[in-house]
Amino acid sequence: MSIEWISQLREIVVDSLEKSWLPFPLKEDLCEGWKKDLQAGPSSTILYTSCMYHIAPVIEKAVENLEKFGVTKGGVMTRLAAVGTKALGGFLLRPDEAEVKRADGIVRRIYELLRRAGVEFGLLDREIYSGALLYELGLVDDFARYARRAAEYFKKRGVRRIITVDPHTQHVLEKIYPKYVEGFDIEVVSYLDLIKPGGVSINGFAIHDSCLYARFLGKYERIRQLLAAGNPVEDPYITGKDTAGCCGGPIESTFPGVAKQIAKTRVRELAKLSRKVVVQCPICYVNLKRASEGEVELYHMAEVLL
Amino acid sequence: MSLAELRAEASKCQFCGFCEYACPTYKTMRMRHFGPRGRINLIKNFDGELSEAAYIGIMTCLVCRACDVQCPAGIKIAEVIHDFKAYILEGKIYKNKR
Repeated sequence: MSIEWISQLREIVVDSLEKSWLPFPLKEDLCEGWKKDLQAGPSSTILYTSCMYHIAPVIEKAVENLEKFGVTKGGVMTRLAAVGTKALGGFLLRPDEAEVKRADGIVRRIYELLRRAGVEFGLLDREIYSGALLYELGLVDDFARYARRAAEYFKKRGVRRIITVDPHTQHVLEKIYPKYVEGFDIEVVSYLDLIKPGGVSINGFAIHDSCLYARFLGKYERIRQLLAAGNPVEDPYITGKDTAGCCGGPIESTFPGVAKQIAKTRVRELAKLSRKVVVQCPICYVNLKRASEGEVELYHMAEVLL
Repeated sequence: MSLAELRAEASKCQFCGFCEYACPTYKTMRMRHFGPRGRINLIKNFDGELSEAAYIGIMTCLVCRACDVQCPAGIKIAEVIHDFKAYILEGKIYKNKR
């Protein structure tokens, strides 16, 4: 994919972050619905979604379109607008209602698991994106600028501890923010390290590890501890810490065709172990789903923990 | 890492190819520039120009780190490729904007 494409994608992401704190033109309340009726007083510890579970289905839809029609014909905005809905002065990307409900359900489930474990926390008045995509694409200058803004956003709200719900946010806040934001000293913890589930609702599944959780953040054993009651089917190569394959997600917005081929390879490997696959990351979920075509059933980790 | 540091890190490569065993893009595409060994050697030999094929090879790296642990020379392969991507984009995107 051409530099021109990455350049246009960059403009969309940077512009959207500037205007709305979200990486794409989205309905402003897309990532807020899950909070309805939940207790959320101000607190120095917050449960932070970075909007990841809600953005992922939007990316899925946009990537499908990009793959079908190409990315150069008509430019990026035309391609994205084709899957969006017209709004004053532009367009908004809108995921399927069912996907929004599922995302709401997953984040609420994480909220419940944390509350049940006795963890004290509050919620942000508004979710903002972490900027992970900019860093992962290699757009480091833009990432650094945005990270400083986001850190200020947390600081103004008195945040001292952040509980994350996905690997991209955990990685970027824990490992990358301190390198680019001077004095960034907010503690960043994953919900995985705080919950105490009472079991697993499915049995005999395969685990698709997030590369970030397994190889960057040291969560490989913790995930197995949490899922042990469901007797996951393991294989030294397919689900091994060092060798488990990536879903292709990191390049889905730049090379959707290659990303899909990689995801298909991964689905074939996992299907050898089980038709049921548990994932820990919304991006993995979307990318494997796109390639699976019914070969495997995908479950988010929070959906199967009891 | 600076370009000089990236080249120095990439220069540790002894072409053994162990890294390819675990690379998801190499496994799928079966072409050397879609694997860590190919990418690292493109960086090692970078002279300011990249062919379209070399560019695609570099930019499709998932930075999943499956290669890192396989490397007997201990090259920080994923980090080198990520930082090289940033270097390429810095030259091709940001400089045009300033």
